Amino acid sequence: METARTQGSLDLMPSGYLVTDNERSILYANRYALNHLNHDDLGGTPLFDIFTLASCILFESYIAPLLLKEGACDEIQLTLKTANGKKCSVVTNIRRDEEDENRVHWTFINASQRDKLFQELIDARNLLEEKARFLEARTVTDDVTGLPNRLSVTQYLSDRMNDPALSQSQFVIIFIDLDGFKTINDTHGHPVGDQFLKAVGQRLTRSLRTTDLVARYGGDEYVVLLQQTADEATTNTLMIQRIVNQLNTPFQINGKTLSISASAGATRYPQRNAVEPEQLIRQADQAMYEAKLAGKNQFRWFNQEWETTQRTHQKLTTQVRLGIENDEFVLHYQPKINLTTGAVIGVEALIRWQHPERGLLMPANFLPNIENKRIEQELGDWVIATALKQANSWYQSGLQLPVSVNVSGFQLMDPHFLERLTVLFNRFSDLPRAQFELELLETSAINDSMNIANVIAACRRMGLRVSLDDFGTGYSTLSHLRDLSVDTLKIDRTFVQDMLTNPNNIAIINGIIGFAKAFNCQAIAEGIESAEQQAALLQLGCQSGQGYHISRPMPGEAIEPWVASRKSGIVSHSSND
Amino acid sequence: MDECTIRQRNNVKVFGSGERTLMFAHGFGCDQTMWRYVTDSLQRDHTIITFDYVGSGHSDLSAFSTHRYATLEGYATDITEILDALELDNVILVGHSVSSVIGMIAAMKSPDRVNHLVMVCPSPYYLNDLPEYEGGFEREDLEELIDLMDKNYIGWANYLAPLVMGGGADTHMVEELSGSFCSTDPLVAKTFAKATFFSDHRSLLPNCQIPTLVLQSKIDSLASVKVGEYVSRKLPKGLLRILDTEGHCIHMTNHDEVEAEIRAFLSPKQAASDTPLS
Repeated sequence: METARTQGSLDLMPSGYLVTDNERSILYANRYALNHLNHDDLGGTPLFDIFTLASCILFESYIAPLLLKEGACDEIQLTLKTANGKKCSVVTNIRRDEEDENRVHWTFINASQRDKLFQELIDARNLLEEKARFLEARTVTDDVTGLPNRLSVTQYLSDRMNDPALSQSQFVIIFIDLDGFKTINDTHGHPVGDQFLKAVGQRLTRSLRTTDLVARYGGDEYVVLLQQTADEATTNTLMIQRIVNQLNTPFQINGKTLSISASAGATRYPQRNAVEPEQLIRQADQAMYEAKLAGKNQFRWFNQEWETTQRTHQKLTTQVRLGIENDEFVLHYQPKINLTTGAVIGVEALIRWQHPERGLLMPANFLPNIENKRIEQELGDWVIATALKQANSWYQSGLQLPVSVNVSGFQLMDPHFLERLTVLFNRFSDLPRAQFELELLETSAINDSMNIANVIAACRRMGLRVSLDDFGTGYSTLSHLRDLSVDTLKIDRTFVQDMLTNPNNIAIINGIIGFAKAFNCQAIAEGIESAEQQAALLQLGCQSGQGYHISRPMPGEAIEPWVASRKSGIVSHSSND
Repeated sequence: MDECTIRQRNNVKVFGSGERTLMFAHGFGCDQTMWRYVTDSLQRDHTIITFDYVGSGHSDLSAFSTHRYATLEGYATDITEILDALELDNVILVGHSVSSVIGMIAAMKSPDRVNHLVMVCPSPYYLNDLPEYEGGFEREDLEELIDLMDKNYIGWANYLAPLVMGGGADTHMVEELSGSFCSTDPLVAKTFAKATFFSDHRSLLPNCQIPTLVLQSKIDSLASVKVGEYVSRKLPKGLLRILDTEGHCIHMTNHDEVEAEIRAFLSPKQAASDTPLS
């Protein structure tokens, strides 16, 4: 065995150098190695005496097989032990002696610099991790309230509903909207508004269990997820009411006492049909809207039927819109005549739908389902445009035939109605405006009659004629007559139908004719189905009428021949007279 | 999975000739080539099967899963799947180091396929559990080992990649490294190291009814003689042989002796008596 310490060039090496044998004993260590490990002599010392246990494992499991197989092992970091028990980190290169198989050569250098870099790497990693956590928190947390945001709650719902382990667990989604929060913002400014939103969030959080979740969905809207412990609807209803009601207690913000109420809607999960996370929130939102409509500061459960109805409406809307595009709608025209002379005084345009699957549909088959919907206005516009075009076409061909169309109160309420009407009339500037008449359903004029009265007045100023349709069937007939200034009252067909057998109807018709005279407008009877009815109406002083007895509604192109034959008929009739 | 897939996945090699089939399982940090010294002569009269665990050697790294291979049961499944795919019966399963325990788990899962076990330098638990058990290491030693592995295996890119790329993807990190012997992907090595050094399988030993040869190196810093004695004592059919050797890789350094012990263990005489000698 060589001495552990020899004089010579190896001692001048600025790195550690060791020679070991196959029994893992140290045969030689240079001065650098001895100094580094704080030993005077290492000759005969077992190699593992200067290795930590971790280094021993690395040697046995990695270095030793590598040396046997390839004879070398480079840049391995190990931890050595000094004589005084301190650990030092080194990087070693190891070679098996090519001539003497029983010798292994080791060099090592201090790895403290490498360790420092490694530590920096760990620090960088930790920083990155922290940053990543921060960024993740930012994207899922609402800045104002610190609550999970819309993205977060939707993601949470989605994860939860897609997790097979949780997918069948029950929960309730509540959508909360503050009533009149805008006033707080307007009165006290946005900073106070933000603090208020935060306080609401805190109060909601406090009132829930740790297993529940509250998120700010946007603006003054919050979404709450309540875990359902048992299927007890009442418990949940009470809980939800408690949650909503506690917001009624005034808040103290910056020394100011601020009060608010909230409307809430809720829906349950799971449901009979598969449901998407966004759909659940939408359902709760709809229920909340119902609560708002019902007078605010209350709570409503989502009603599945309502959604079904909505879906039917949606489908019909699409079909109607498509029908307009595909020219499936047509107008038929029913003549109105002077009951005395038989002269044609105008036609009423009536809509028909040539449905691709259901055949020809009467208005009663589809209009009620789109009542008070945007699509009703679109269809109404189409009717006006088409009837105007027809009226203009007749006018251009020398037939002066006033055309009337039915309009609903909802149509007139559209703020852009007059604007669109003007644009349409400008297209047919030759057509005298008195050739066109709007028939307003009396029953549809109930809401906001003042606003409608203004629109009607504006239409009349434009030169259009206006009649009140189905007169006598509405609730506030008299007040309508007072508020609405119209040209004609149309006596509803229900009074005409039974007039020969029901004296009360005679009295009503008499009354309407009287009103017409009193308010300086005309009266026209609808639904005349027999010569007797026509004669009786004439006797009562009603000069105009329409109905199957006179003519059924017919396509536009049939009107001209009809009018012509009528004229000759009247002529011949007159000549017979 | 079919035989072909499994063979490729685990880089399974079948060679030699003989009625008896010996299957060799490598230990932590290496691959099947470390068995070459022993199999060179055993293949003359035995059918030999060697393989690499998924993540080691030339296995299919894309099959690696940190979840599956976080426990030794995952590695044992590699063995049973190979046994099933090759439809092997009455196999003598030889495992080095941690593969002694992995082999035992596999044998207990497929008792019909494995009828003898050979454990080379086994340890069922590396931590000390004094006074009953002396595994040889304290937790801090093993934590230092993981730290050393980090320092040796992991470069900047590998270390930071999971954070930059986002979690949840094993495959992008387990790219094949240079083909040098024993080279292993950092993530795979660390997963294997944790599964090896932090698991405790002592409780399995009494339930293993398979005749088992325990080969113990006289001087082994990883698995001391006390550990070898403990293993053979707890095994109902354990046979301890302490070899006058130094080091943990005696199947490489002292392969002749290891081979002789295996042959003796499998000899008709020994098989007939089947009784522990120590």
